[in-house]
Amino acid sequence: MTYRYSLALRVIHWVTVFVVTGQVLLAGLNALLYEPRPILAEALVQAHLSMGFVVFILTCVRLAVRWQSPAPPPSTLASLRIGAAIVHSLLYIVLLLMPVTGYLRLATLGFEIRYFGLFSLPDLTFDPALANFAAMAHSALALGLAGLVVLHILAALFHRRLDGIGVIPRMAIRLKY
Amino acid sequence: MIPYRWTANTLWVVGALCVAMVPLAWAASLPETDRYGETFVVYAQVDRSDGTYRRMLTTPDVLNRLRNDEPLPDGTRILMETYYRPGELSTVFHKQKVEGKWQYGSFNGRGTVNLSTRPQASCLSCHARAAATDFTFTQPSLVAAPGQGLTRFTCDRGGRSPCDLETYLAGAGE
Repeated sequence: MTYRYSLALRVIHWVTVFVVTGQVLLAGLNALLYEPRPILAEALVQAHLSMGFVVFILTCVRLAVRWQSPAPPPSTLASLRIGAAIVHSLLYIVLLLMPVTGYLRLATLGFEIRYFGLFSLPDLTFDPALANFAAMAHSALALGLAGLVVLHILAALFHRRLDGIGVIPRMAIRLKY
Repeated sequence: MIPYRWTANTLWVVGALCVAMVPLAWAASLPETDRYGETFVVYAQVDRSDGTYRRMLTTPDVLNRLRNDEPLPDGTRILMETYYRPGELSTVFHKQKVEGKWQYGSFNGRGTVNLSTRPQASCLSCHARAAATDFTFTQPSLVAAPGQGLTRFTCDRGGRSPCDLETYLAGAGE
């Protein structure tokens, strides 16, 4: 029985935390700067778009690794087991859907997204209604992600108190446990 | 002696010309500026409750080429001047229609004029909410400008985000 997630999963987890935090900052700064500093704001949006692609790839790789590698034992409490499964599943879904909706909201307006200035994805049919729907979904997913992250952090912090098992070391980047 | 019929016809023609001139007279009454190296006319002003305001400008030839219920013609250029203090020009946003698609640009109103445009993600995404009015929030005011002159209305939303499209549609009728 393993008591930690694999090193690959732990690294992907913390890289995802780092990148998603950066995405929030980029989006927030864009909202603040688009009028007084529009050129800088546009550069931030380009970075946000490229890093969204990174989040999507990271999440796909993470799911593949998660599928293949053994996981630590689940909680002894059914409520915690079910709660964790739901929150983790929703986090994966949101992390996949946010880059997709971000792509759709611009690709359906005829805007070519150049990821890191290197490549772009195929053109989509011009559809402003879909673009607006994707934009609303992107905003709603961002709020959902914030809520899920709060739940996730609270659960990690209070897990030991609830069922006697501390789960934070499972994701810690340290080689000895 | 001029026949009565000729006189009546002449009066009709003169009257029709006068009526046709009214929109042109309104358009001529729009405030204009040459500060950008060519003439732009102001067709709308959006005031905010915090004292900031924006002025919307276009070129006179666009006003002459406007047709109701048709998209704004290729080559249309629109400027949005932002004023965070009365009379103090800040960022100037610029958009231009190129081959049916809008491109965007901006420059500091106190610096060098730069009317170049290119596709920009944040501008395009925000303006998608105004897809019904050719991706231009103040298109109703622009179309109305030759007939009713400058539109001036208030956007109550705080900060710098654009108001809902309905606000701009209602404003054009005032």
